[in-house]
Amino acid sequence: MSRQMMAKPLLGAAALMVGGLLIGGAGPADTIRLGLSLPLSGGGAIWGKGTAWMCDKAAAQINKAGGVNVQGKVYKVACVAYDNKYTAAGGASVAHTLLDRDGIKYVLAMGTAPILATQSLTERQGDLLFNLSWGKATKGPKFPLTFDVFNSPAEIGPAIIKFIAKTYSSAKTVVMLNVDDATGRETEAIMRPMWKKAGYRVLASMFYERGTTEFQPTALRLASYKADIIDLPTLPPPDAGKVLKDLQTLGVKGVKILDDGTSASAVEATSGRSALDGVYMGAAIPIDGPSFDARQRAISKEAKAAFGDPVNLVNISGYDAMQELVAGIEKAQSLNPHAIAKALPTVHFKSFYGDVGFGGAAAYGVNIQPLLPVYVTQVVNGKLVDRAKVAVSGK
Amino acid sequence: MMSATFVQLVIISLEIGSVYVLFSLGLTLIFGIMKVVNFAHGQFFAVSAILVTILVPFLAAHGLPVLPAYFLATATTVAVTVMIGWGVYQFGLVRFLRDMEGAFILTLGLAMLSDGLMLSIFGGAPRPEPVIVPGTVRIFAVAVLAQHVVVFGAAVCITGALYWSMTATRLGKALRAIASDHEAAMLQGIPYRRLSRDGFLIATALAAIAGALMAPISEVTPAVGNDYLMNGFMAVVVGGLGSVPGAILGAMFIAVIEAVGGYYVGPSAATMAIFVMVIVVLLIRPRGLLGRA
Amino acid sequence: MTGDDIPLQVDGICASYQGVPAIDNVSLRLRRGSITTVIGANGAGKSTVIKCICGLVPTDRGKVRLFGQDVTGMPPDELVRRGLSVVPEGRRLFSDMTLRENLELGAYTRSDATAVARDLERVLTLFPDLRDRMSTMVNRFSGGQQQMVAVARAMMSAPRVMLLDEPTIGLAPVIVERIGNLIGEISRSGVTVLFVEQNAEIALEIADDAYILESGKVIAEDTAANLAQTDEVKKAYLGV
Ligand SMILES: Nc1ncnc2c1ncn2[C@@H]1O[C@H](COP(=O)(O)OP(=O)(O)OP(=O)(O)O)[C@@H](O)[C@H]1O
Ligand SMILES: [Mg+2]
Repeated sequence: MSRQMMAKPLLGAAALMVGGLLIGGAGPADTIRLGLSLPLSGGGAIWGKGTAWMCDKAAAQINKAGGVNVQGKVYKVACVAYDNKYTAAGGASVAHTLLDRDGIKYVLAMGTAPILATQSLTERQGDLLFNLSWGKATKGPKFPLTFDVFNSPAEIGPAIIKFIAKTYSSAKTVVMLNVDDATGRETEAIMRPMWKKAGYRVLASMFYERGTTEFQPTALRLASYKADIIDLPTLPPPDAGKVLKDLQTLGVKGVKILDDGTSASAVEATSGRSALDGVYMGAAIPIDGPSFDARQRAISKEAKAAFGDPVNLVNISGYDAMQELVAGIEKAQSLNPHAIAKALPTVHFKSFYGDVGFGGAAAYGVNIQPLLPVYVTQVVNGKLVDRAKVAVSGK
Repeated sequence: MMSATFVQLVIISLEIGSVYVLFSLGLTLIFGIMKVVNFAHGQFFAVSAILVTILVPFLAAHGLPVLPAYFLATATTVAVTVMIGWGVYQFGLVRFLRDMEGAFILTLGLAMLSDGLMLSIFGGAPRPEPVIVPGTVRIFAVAVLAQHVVVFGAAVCITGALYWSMTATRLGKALRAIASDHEAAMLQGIPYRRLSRDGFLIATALAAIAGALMAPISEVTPAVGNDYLMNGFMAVVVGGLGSVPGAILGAMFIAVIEAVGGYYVGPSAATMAIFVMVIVVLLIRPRGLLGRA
Repeated sequence: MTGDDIPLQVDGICASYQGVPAIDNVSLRLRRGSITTVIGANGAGKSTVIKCICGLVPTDRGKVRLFGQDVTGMPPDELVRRGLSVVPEGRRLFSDMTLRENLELGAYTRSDATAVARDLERVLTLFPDLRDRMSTMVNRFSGGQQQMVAVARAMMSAPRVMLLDEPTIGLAPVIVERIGNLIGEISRSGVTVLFVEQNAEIALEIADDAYILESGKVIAEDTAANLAQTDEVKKAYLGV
C-alpha cells in the first residue's frame, strides 16, 4: 500500500505538468471560469475525467444559449481542470494553481482530502467551493462559501431506508460493512443512526482495510449474524463484487444494498451476474428508465463514447456545479462569491435531473444542498431497474 | 464432531493460503537467487490477469470452447509476461544483482511506470472476468467456489513441481547453490548471471500463472498486483526470505490469521493482527520462521 | 616455454579494494604437474592473488594466462570450464545441501555421467569416512571433514589446475598431515597445484616451488627446498 501511495504523486505530478501546459490558466476577461480539482490520474481518473467532460458539456450548452448576463454584460463560461490525484497534497497544489495563479474564484473539488486542502483557502480568501464529497464534515454553517452538488449518504440513506421499510416490512435487522477510511467511517456514522432511528437493529458494523484481497472470512462473519439486511454503503466495485460473490457461495439470502453503488457493470465484472442479482443501489442513475428522457440519454451516450462511462451520480456533478454557479450569478447579478453564496439557497437551476432548488438544513444546518431526486435501483439480470424515485425533501 | 464453522475456516484458510503461496513463490525465488526484493512482482501478476480477461472472450468469440480458450490464453499470457520479464532483467535488473537499494529503486520505478501504462492502456475500471470453472462444490457440507478448488489444486501442483525441480534437477540444485553462496557456485562452474536470469524468468512465469489462475476469482484491475504484493511480501518475510518452504509456511500463517481473525474479530482487526504477528515473529526470529542465520 | 609447460602464468597483477592496493605486481609461474605455494602472513594478499586468478576480484593491471590463453577478468564459471578448480578460503560449502549435492555441484560443468561416477568413486576412495554420509547436510560435518569435502568437491570438476586457499588453517595436526598427503596425491594424478599458506613449515615441505608474499609484493621465489634454507625464511616463517 505504501507503494501505491508513492506511485500516485509522481504520476500525478507528471500529469499535472502536462495538464498545466495544455490547458493553461488565463482565459479572456469576459469568460467566467469554474476551476475543477479532480483526480485525473490513478484509480479515480475515471471519475475525474467524466466530471470534467460533463462540466464542459454544461458550459457548451450555456454558451450556445447565449451565455450569462450580469447587469447587461454577457459572459461566456468555461471549465479549467487540474489533477488533484485524490490526495491532500495534490488538492493543495491544485487549489493554489487555480485560486492564486489563475485567479479563478469558483472551484469544484472532488474527494475529502483534496477538499480539506481546498476549503481552507476558499473560505479564507472568499472563493466559492462546490463540494463533491460523501461526508458531512466539510459542509455546514461553518463554511458559508461551500455548497453541495450531489446526493451523498445524508440524502441517499433516508431514501433507501424508506424504500426498504416499505418493500420488506418484515425485515428488522441489519449488518453493515464499510471500508476503513475517512469515507467509510463518515458514511457509517451517518447511516447507522439512520437505521436505528427507522427502528432497525444494527447487529454489527464492520470495517475492512483498503487493499484487502480476500473477503471470505468477512463474508462468513457477515453471514453469521443472519441479518435481514446486509448494508454495504462504501464498498468500491471490485470489493463489493468479491463480497457479493462470497456471500452467494455461502448461500446468504438477505437484502443486499450498495448505497454508494453507481454502476452495475463495474460490480458485475468481479461478482459475476448471478451474485449481483437483486442487489439494490442508491447512487446509480437508471438512465434507460422512465425518469429520464431522450435528451438526457443522448448526453449519456455521448459521455460513454467520449470517456468510457455513462453519466453517473459523480460525473453529473460537473454539469450541475456549472449550472448552480450560473444560476447563482444570474440571481445575484454579481460575480462576487459572497453575493452568489447569498443568492444560491434561493435559486432554482437547470440540473441534469431537471429543475431543482436548494434545501438540506435538516442534515447540514443550512440550505446548501440541491434537492436532487434519489433513485433506488435494483439489479435484475445485469440491468438496473428503477424501483423508486424519492424526492429529497428540503428546508 | 467438527463444528461447521471450524471446517469452514480451515477451508477458507487453505483457499486464501494457496493464493498467497502462488504469489510468494516467485518473490522468494528472486530474493534467494538475486538477493533483491522485486517490488514489480505484482505487475506481472496484474498484466497476466488482465491479458487473460481480454484473450478468453476474444478466443471464445472465434469459436473456441471456454477451457481450451483459457488454456491457450494462459499459455500466451505467460509467454508474453515472461518476455516482458526478460526485458526487465536484461535491460535493468542485471545491473542490480545483490544490490538491495538499487533494485528497490529500479523495481519500484518500474512498478509505477507499469501502473501508469496499464491505467492508460486498459483503464482503471475492473475488467469483466471469464467464468472458467463455474459453480460451487461441497466439501464436508461446505460450499466452495469450484474455481477456488482449481486454484488450490494448481497451487499444490505448482508448489510440488517447484519443490521437486529445486531438489531433483540440475538447474534447481544450481539455483539453490547460488542462493546459498553465489561465489562458491561460480567456482563450481555455475553461470551465475545466466541462471539468475533463468530464475527470474521462472519467478515471472509463476506470477503470470498466478495471475491467470486468479483472474476468474479476484478483481482484475491494474492495481490488483499491488494489493497481493503486500501480503505476499509479508508471507515471504515471515517464512524467511529466499526459502521456498518458508514462503509456503508464511503464506499459510497469514491466511490463518486472516481467516480466523477476520471471522472472530472482523476484517480490519485481522489486517492489524497480521502486521502485529509478523512483527512478533520477526522479533523472535529476525530471519523469519525458516530463514537461515 | 609454451602454455603446456606452464599451465598457469600470472604476470605482474595488481589489485585493490576501494582504491587501497592489496597486491602489487605479483607474478607466478606454475610448472606442469608441480606443487607451488605462496607463503604469507595474515593480510599479505594471498587470498587476493587466488581471487584475481579465478576472476572473483578484478585486476587493475597485469595478465593471467591459463594454458597459454589470456583469461584475465574472465568469470569463474568460464575458468572452471577451462580446467581450473578452486578450494576457496573458508571452504564455502553449500551448507544447507547434502554431501551428495555438494559433490554433484562440483561436477556441474561435466556431462559425461560415467566419467563423473568414476571420479566420485575415486574421491570416495580417497575420503572413505565420507562414503556413508552422502545424504547428510554438510553443515553437520566437523571442520576437518568439511575441508575434505571442499577438496573433494573441487576434484569433481576433473581440473587440470587446482588452487587451494589455506587448506590447513584451523585443523588438528593429524588432519593437516592428511591434507598434505592429499595435495601430493592430487599432484601425482597430473593436476598442477597452487596453494597459499600461512603455515610455512608444511607448505615448504609439500611444495616444489615457493613464493613469499609480504604486504602484497613477492619478496622471494625459488624452489621450496632452497627457500627453506634461507635465513630470513627460517627466522620469519619457520620460527627457527
Ligand atoms: N573485501 C575486501 N575489502 C577491503 N579490503 C580487503 C578485502 N579483502 C581483503 N582486503 C584487504 O586486502 C589485504 C589483503 O587481504 P587478503 O585477504 O588477500 O590477505 P590474506 O593474505 O589472504 O590474509 P589471511 O591470511 O588473513 O587470509 C588486507 O589488507 C585486507 O585487509
Ligand atoms: Mg586469505
